[in-house]
Amino acid sequence: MSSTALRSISISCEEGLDGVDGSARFSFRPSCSALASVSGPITARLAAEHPARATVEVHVRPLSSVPGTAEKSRGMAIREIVERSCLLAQHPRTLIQVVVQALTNPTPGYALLAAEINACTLALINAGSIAMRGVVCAVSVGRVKKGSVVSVEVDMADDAVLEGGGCFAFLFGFALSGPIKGSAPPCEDVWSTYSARPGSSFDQAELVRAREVAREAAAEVWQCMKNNIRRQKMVGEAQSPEEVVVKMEI
Amino acid sequence: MESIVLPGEQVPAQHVNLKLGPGLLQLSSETQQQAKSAPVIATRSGVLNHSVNKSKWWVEGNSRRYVPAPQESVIGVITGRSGEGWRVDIGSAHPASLDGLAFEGATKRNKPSLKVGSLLYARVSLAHKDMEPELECFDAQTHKADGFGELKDGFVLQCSLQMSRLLLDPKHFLLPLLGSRFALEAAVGMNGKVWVSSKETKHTIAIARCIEAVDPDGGGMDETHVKKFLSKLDI
Repeated sequence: MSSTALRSISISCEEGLDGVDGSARFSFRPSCSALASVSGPITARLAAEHPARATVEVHVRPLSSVPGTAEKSRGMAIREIVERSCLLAQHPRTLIQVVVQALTNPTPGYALLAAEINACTLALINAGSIAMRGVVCAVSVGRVKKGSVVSVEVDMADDAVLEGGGCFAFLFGFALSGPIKGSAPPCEDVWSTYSARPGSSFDQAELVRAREVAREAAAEVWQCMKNNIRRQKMVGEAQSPEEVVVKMEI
Repeated sequence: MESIVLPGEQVPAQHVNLKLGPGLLQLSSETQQQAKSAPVIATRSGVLNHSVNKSKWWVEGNSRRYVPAPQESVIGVITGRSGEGWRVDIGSAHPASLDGLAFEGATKRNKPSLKVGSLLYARVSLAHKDMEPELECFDAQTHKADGFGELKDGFVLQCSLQMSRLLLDPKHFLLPLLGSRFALEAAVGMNGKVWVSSKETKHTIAIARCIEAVDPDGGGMDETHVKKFLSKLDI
């Protein structure tokens, strides 16, 4: 079930956005996509400086209209995750600025948040200037009725019928304790949220089940990221661009 | 032979005299005994490399933002005076400071005539994460200028950090190839800035275009394609 659920993940780190140090685009499916950019370590405002570590600032922008409360809460979640995955003590008194742009409209579920978290991780890896202790992969899960199977949110149709769901972010890195799934390093649950829509409820057993489903799916996301980065580095060496006809007039 | 690592992945680096380069971190362990085999993880993504006898390991990755490290040559722009010295922008998070006497043969009466906006080729003499970086314009051992100092005329362009490392490698093809076509003077800073100077403007522009094309960040053109590219330019 999990292997088919995430087959339409699409990652692109070749954005090459100008003016920032790293950028990446991540989408679970064409209707759930986010773009993130990272700049850092850069100069921090005096008020925002921290004497022993870097300050992280996250700005989340929706596809349409101005950022509101939902964006602010996603921004706070992403900031906590970035602070846990980067070694901030190596860059005191600097700023790491993360800007996330949602490329699709938000849904009642948490899929967009998961895509944004993954896009941020990829942008940080793409930037390469901030040391990281691991890679954070997030997935959103949901279930239809209380007591039914928890599964990874697959498409738009799911969002409408889900009555409960959440988002789990896992930090994949060697130093952590946790079961190893497949070829990914061990992972640790670094941020999670789970809720039931009005009229429904959930119990502890469901939360534990949901976390396990999400853990397996996150290992697949990690593998997708690794494959993409490996492909990028290999292709980068053997690339031959198309012919360019140039006329210089001075 | 090449293996790509992601941050957090364990690296099989073990040696009696282990030296870890950029991108690797040894996790601290609780006892002395464990310290000998403390695990090493990668902290950035890139290609994992090691020396032939496996004592030196490092991760070769690319980035655009410079983080100062000691003994690296950088190109900076003077942005202001601060007391006896200068404030220099080298592209890092904090501006660097350059003492007014940190030049070859400089005395209180005989200081170089630098102005705000001048370009410098300097060496990072102090780069600690808690302090502002400091620069010097002479070689560490000989105290001679050795190419450091003010850069006059010319043109500065930005490239990725991996590109500046490639340009500093004597075995890389680009600068000798360009030098064989026209007279060229270049200074490569490890902070992603390259200063080039040649007699004609169109040569300077051609050099800038070639460096941008060969940059791994911007396509990573190889030698045959650069030659084709140069033949199409009107120089």
